[in-house]
Amino acid sequence: MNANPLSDVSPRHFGRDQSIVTASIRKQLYAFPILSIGDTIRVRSLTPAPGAQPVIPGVINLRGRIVTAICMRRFLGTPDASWEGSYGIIASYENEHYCFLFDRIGEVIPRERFEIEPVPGTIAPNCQQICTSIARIGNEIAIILDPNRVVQECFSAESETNGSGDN
Amino acid sequence: MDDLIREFVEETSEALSEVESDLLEMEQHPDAEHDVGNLFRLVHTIKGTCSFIGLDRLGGLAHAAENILGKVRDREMGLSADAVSTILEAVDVITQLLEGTADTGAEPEIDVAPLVTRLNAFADASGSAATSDHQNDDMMEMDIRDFPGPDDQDVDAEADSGLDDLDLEFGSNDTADDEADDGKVLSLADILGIDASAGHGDEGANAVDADLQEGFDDDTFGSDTEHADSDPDEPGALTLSAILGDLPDTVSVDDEDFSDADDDGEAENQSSTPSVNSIGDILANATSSRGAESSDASARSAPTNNDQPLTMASILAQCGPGKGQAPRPENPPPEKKSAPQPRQSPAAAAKASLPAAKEMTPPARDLQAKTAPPAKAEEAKDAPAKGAQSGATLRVNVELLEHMMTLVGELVLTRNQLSQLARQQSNGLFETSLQRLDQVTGELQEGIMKTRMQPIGNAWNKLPRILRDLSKDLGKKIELEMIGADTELDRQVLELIKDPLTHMVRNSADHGIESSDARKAAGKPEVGTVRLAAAYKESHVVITLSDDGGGLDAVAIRRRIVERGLAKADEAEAMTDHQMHQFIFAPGFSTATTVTSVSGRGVGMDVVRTNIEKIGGSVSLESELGAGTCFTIRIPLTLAILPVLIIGSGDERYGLPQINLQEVVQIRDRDNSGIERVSGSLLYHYRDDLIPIIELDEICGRATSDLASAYHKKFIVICRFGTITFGLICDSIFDTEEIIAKPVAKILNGIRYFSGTAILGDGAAIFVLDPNALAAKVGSKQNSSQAPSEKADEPQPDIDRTFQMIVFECVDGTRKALPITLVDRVEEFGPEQLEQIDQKIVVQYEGKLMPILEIDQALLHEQQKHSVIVFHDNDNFLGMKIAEICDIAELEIETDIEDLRPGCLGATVSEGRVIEILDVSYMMSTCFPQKYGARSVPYAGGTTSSVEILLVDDSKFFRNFVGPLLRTSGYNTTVVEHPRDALEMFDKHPDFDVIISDIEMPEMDGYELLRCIRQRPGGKDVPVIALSSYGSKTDIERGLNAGFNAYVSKLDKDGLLKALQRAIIETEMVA
Repeated sequence: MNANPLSDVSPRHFGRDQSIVTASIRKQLYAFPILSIGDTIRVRSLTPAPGAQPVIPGVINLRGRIVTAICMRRFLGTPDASWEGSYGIIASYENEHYCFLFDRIGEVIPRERFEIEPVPGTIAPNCQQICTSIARIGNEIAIILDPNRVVQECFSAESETNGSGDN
Repeated sequence: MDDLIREFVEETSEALSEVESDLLEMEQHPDAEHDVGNLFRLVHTIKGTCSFIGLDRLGGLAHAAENILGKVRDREMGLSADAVSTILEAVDVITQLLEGTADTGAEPEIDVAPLVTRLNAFADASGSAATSDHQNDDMMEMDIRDFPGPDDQDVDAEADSGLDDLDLEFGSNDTADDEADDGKVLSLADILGIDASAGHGDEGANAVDADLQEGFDDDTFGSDTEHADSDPDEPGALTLSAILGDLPDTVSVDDEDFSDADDDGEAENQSSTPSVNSIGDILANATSSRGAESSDASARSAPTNNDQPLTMASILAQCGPGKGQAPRPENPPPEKKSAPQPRQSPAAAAKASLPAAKEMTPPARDLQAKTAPPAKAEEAKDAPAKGAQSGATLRVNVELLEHMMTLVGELVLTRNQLSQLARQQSNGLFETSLQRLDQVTGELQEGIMKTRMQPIGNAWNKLPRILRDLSKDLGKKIELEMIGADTELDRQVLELIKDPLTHMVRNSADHGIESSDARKAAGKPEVGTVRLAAAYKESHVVITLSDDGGGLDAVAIRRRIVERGLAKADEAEAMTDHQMHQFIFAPGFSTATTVTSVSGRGVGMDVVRTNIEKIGGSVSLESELGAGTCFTIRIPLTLAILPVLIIGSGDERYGLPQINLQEVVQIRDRDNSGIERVSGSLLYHYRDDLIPIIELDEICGRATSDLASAYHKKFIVICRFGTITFGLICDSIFDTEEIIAKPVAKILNGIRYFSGTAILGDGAAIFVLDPNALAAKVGSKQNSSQAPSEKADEPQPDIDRTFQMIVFECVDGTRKALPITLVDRVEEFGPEQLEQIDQKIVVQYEGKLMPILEIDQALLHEQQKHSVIVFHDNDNFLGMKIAEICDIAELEIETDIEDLRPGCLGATVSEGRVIEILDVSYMMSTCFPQKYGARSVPYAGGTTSSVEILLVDDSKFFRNFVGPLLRTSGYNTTVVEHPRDALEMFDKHPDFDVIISDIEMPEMDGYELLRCIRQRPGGKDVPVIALSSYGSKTDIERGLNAGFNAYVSKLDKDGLLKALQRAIIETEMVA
């Protein structure tokens, strides 16, 4: 596996002194560079989007703006649960807003409290697509995700299903 | 420069459309008073601006067009149709150039020379002034170039004549000086336009004393040609003449007077016009405001300085608003500098001259009206540069408006949420503020909406031109009436309806209005009228487009429907005229016999309808043959706010656009929901129709139940989209709400049935159902004649041989099929409903006992429901138990099968399997032997030929049975229900080879029909075969005696086919 040093982290989202926001699914920690996201919310209501791909459970009204939810549990293949009680991280991609659903939102971790490491080759393939690096925070490890890649993955999944299984 | 061009393009487009509509108006009412001057100015400004920006082709064209207009204005020529056409042609090319310029920023490479030549030739044809104009231009320019640059802007032009000195205040600025110093072109525009940059206005205010005497000097102005041969300190004089030359024509001054004036300017001026003394006053008035006016004017026409001498007048032409409105002085004074000019070219002077500077010699009579009284001039000073008619307007980027619209939308929603919260809290504290917020938000929303509103006339302004050209091309006389052009619509909606509307108006002119001859023959006025009217109705704008033309020809449409295979002949027969008219909305449908350049290609009305429906509008039509057609288009005022009905599936809510809503029905009857399930498709008995329905649960991915009782208490929302009416079953109905629909996120594009998302007043996000997609789903499932649009794109199957068949599995596991038209419905019966009578199982159905076939008596005691296909003929119902419905498909019937057993009509192939076609008539005859009599020999095979058969039968069952049978045997069969229809049909097409008629029919029986046919010319020898349920020997004898060529039992297929063959052979032998 090729090394994935710090330089591989998208510079737009990840400055040398950029903090990260952690979120978790079950026990696993994930993190987003703080500048890559807009907001964190507690999901109180969600309108299902029938016919959408499975990772998209529906849409959320975020202060008058309709935001597409992406269930990270489903995306990452961890056992599914209801969206209820989920927390969301809001990010925008090409002028549209998305909400990544996690079990919990952690905290903002300043740059000096974590080390950046390359992504190990052993990481699950669906996670490999969307992560940029690993943050070592003391004893814990957080997988740093790129929100753009998450959305892009969803788009490519969408076009695949449309291409083959229409109707 | 980009900004400049953009602004230029915008302004010029507006001016062009004004030119176009003015021209058409003038052409139509040649006798009325028109402001040709205005038209001229418009074209002139275009020309000037083009030259400035360096768009030479545009400028050249505009110049040439201007020449013609100039002549018209000067009454040297009338505004003939040819003139209008020629100018319009120029306008077209200018528009084309303009569009190209807008796209690329540079003038497109279009060769305009030939057109310019033509225009000039046209202008020359009625005199030579235009050309000489042209020459003068050059000459003048040259002369002016020869001027030494003005040393300063002080020009003394003294009025010797005792007129008051004129103080012309001109601002100056450096540019003007620079240019002048360069000796480039003496820029009058610059001189006058200096304080266009307002700040500099006072900098170099110069007094110009115009010297009347100077003006009379032959040396100053050439006498034969109009070249402006001024001496160095003449710019002021020139300016004046230009200023004054621009003044509209009222005073006419005798040439003589001017000749005299030549000798003694003062005296003669006084004598020639009594008001000469006042001239100074007027001029003073005029000029005191000149600074202001000209600054406005030059701000606008500054671009024209390529063409300096012309510019001056154009600048002044722009001073119009104030002047135009100015009361005309009673005694119009001849002007100092203009005075000499008429003398130089007396002929031209006698005529009203162009206000354009191009002719530097506007005659004195042009003087006064433009000389605004001071008060008006003051107003003009305040008026924005564009002139009074555009008022205080601002160009605002549409995106900004859109953005504000969105924001206000969100504000409204937030307010709604807040109000709802406040209601729950019942806390009086917020109330007053909230009310205020409520009010302000409402007003804000209304205000923002208004900013997007534009009069619908904007979408219409091209129509007069289009119609004019059309009526020329088509050689018809058509008048276009437009009513309610000021009705306002959201600009987005406006954009979207523009094209459909244009298309429809074209259609009306081409197809609707008859030729003049035809109109005269029909006793109608020769001039056809196309009427376009718009008005508000509820929250919609209703546009009606009517013509007093020929109306839609139902017969032609019916023929086309059948030809195109959009419906079978018998279906088409059964349609009302209104139903038939709807087919003009089917893709590719056209009744035009020839394709013209205008229309008739059959692309169109379907697109029109789709476009209108896309924006939530609807279109319907009424037509009366011979009297005209009227389309009614309903469009929402704005797309931003969409009224929806909130419907529920389970806990989820969805919005359904109200425009598509027809009716909501609740299913009250637990056992008889009116819903039937046919091979996965649901049908609902809606009034007299069977409409397809879909379940919202299914759309929303929830599990659905097959049980009939599952629909109890549910609602069926009847929707209509285009020609498709369908039902949507949902669990609950909430209220209606006005929502602001937002597009569905791109990532959700794969979801099919939703057109948008919205936030409700309570803060919930919902999806808005897309009726278009729902209709498409129904259409693809149903694939019936209700959805012609779905079928027409596909290659037409051979309709003579294929039928829509219902394929089902019998109790014994075999598959059979039936033409769906023969199936009445599919029912489920519980064991408690089954009764046994004389070895037969029957149920009570529609108040009668219905025998059920293929049902095992043992099943009577089992607790299971039985699916039963029900057939009926007249009053007899017959049921047949089946295992399940497998499919509904268009299948081809094979009848060329030997030794079919009784009860089998033929075979068909579906999904690779051969499937028997059930012979319903056989089943009927076995169950009701007393009525149908015994069956005869099995069917042995058919023959094919191109034989035309007319079949008359009042029983739908037999029409559907015998009709297909004949068609599958290769006969072209026309089926009618009533004998009188048959006679009508026979009258129209007396070339039917064989007529087959039922005997027992209401109103007129088979014998009577036969008599009628025999009495008609051509009806003497046509073979007529009687078809009857009664097949006894006496019946047959009676029939043959009455003159029938054969008499066949209805259920005797082979007998019928043999009789047919015999009849055909006999006719051939006779012939």
